[in-house]
Amino acid sequence: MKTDRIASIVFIVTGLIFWTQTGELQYNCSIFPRLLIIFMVFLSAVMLIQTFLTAPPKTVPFLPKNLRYITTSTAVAFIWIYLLNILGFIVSSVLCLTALTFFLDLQRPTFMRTLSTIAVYTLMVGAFWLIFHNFLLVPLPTGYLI
Amino acid sequence: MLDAIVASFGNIFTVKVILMIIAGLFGGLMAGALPGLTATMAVALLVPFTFTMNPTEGLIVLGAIYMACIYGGSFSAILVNTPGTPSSIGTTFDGYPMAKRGEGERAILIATFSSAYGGVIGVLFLLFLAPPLASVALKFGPPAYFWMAVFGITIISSLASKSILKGFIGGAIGLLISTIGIAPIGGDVRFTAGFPQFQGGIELIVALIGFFCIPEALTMISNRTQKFHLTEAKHKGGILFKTFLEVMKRQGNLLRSSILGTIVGILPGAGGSVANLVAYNEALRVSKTPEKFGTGIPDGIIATESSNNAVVGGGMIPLVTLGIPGAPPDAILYGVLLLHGLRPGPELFTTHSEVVYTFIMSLFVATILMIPVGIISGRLLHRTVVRLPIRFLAPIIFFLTIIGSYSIRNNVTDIYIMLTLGVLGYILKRLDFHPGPITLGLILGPIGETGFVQALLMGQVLPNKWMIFFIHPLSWVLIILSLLSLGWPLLMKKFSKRWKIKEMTIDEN
Repeated sequence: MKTDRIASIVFIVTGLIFWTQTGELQYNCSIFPRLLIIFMVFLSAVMLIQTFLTAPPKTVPFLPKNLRYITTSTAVAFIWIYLLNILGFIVSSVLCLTALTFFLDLQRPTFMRTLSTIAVYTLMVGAFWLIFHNFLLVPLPTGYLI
Repeated sequence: MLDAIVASFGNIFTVKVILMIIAGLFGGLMAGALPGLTATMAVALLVPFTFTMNPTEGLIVLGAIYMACIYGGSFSAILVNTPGTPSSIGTTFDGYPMAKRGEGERAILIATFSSAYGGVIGVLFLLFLAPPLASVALKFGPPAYFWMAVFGITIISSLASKSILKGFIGGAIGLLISTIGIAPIGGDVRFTAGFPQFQGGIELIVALIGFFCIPEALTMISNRTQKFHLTEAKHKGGILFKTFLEVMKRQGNLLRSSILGTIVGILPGAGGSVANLVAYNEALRVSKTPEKFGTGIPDGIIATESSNNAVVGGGMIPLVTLGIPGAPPDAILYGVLLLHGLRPGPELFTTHSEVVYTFIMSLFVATILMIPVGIISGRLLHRTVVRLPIRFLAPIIFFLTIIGSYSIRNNVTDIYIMLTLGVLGYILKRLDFHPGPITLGLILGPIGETGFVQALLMGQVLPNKWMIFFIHPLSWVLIILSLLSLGWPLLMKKFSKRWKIKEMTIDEN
């Protein structure tokens, strides 16, 4: 219930921010977004009022299990994107895939496991590179390495 | 016509052409199963490979790829809760819960038979009813397109059964995101916060990958102690035949969804992404057990999968009769036809009847061949996903999302947008906002806005410009449909409560 209240306030504020951005637009460009903002703010206001009027239902807690793992994996994914244009598609992908796999592993990594994981990921990423780059002619991110 | 059909069989049933169809089907299935690679992209990417072929062979291969790609989207929708193409959004609603219960193989088989059924119906409409249906599509003006978008939005009341209010807020968020970038009419730059990268708008596929894939990968990570993502059920003997009968028993749902898919396919700009949700909504509305939708029942998969494959045939109706592509992949096929010196339009059936009928009949053959090809590929993919531990599956999903979102515009910014929307999608999911309504808003936003603004411009000639939305009979049909669609779940809720009370009092007595 508390999370719904916060969410509805966030939506109302977002709607108002969007509204301020429509000021300088031509009528034909602003009419549709403005109607949408009114619609969203109205519904959010209804949700906000509802949180005060109805009894809170039993809901799952907002914070998930293994929050540390979720935030770290997301951070690794952002770093991965950043590295794409520096290390190249193959190197950054193998690196980040391996890092994520060991981070999520329930067992401690051994030397052989590490080696086989890197080998599998190199083959998989390499195969995708070949198909996209050479067969489909779809460019993939490039960096200083491959 | 009959002579041309008979002649077309001679062109299709050669070893070379059959092998080409099978190769096209495999390629289409793999492309469809990969989130980010849409049917449009798959068809466009493989056009250069058809340059060396004659026009008929080239069209046959591209038709097979298109058909299989739409069906292939159901694989990832069922196995990882991520629609491979926008046409499979609705398949996640019931397909994924089935897979989670250990019925992934059954769900894939249901999708296979339904897709083939829908594909055949769409092709039959294309073959026999193309000219009259195409003329109906021409009656759709901007006000009707706007009301069609409104009708599409009202589907949310069925999709978001837990909280209709949250569903509509999600829809509004999706609609608002769709307005980012250059306005379709007027050309002003909107809501870019000064970033030139946003001028092109948020690419639908990028948003789709973000809202569906990333929350799923993050949910997997939060359940990392489970080791495996899906439970593997024991392989049941005779599942193939039993599932076939199970699907074929639902003729009403199959036929209704396929016809809906064909009709939506005929309307330029709509396509499979709208058709599957409209069909899901209608299946839910007429069902005797609507409360079971979303829990993993065959009817949900049958509706979405038969309708999206019917779009293939439906979308080609305005293409071959009027020269207007019904869906984005049809626009690519339009180009291919021109490339080979064939001008799409009414004269195509008379001047190049053999090529056209061979193409249509090859779609029919491809749809039938899709069943064995789909069963083999689907089972293989199912076994792989079920046996892949979360520590591998979650990073691989991240990897596929990166490729998928990058390959659309070859832009790293799109990957950042995808991941950011994914994190937002995960937070919204934790707050009980389903990704379905958000993506529905994203799909319908451009259709609705263009129709709305164009209609207002048309309305300038009337004493009151807003009247333009109410003067056409077609608009009224769509308004009534929207009201019905909006009110139906609420009515059903009220009535089911009454029925339950009545049942309880009868039981007590």
